[in-house]
Amino acid sequence: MKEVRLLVLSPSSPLSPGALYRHLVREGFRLRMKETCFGLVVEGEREEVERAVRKARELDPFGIFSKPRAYPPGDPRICRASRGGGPRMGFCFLDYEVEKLPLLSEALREPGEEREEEGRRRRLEVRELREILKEELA
Amino acid sequence: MRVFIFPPNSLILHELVERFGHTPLSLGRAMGERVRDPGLDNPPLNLTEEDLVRGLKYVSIEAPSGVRGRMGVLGPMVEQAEAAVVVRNADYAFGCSGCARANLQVLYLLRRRGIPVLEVEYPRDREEARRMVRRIAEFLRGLGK
Repeated sequence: MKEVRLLVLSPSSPLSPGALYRHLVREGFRLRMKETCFGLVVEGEREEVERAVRKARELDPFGIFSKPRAYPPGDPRICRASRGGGPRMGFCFLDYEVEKLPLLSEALREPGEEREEEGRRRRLEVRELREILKEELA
Repeated sequence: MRVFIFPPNSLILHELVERFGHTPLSLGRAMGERVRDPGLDNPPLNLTEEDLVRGLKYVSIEAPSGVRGRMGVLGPMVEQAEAAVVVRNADYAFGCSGCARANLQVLYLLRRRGIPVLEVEYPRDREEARRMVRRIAEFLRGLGK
């Protein structure tokens, strides 16, 4: 079964879409690929695409994110070149999430330790609040 | 395990669920199967009548066609799900391409199914991002295979 994947580079990644494209071509993947401003759109058989995603992650394990896309690259039904311009479907949300990717890349690289207060955070009881107020106002 | 993600087209959630060894139920894949159907060739109408009929299982006939159409796609995905990861402050799930009522219905269906649901928020700083990743990783590891 065919699948289309978006490979999105985190803005903090040292890679460029072109470098990623050349890497996949060099590895001999027989896929339809399109360079975009945020990464690549890749189309092919599902196993081949998944293999390409794994191979791409070898270059930057925490800086490449992927998700399936419905339409193939350059599909005339949504391609703005054939529709005479117009909105780029799903771009606002993608743009919003791409802004968050450097934070996520860093968090995946160094997840850190659970802080003690995270587990203890809870709603303040009225009784406790009353005692705090008494102490403060005393 | 099949994990429903909300927003269903989220790049971050799809990546995290896949990275931690589960199968994300993604809107892209569901729509991909539909747009390859030769009977469908005129976007923005990317649904067929069958999807609208399927949507009637989840919402009434009086519901706007947008809600019904979305539920025709998202409803079966919720039914397949064995767990879910939901982002609470997903503002972009509502807007020019999203629908607040369909989102409420999806969240309601998730709650009614009684499957494990993790609620997180989009991070604003490093510490929140780490917390989000840790919580998702812990939740997904706890689900088993």
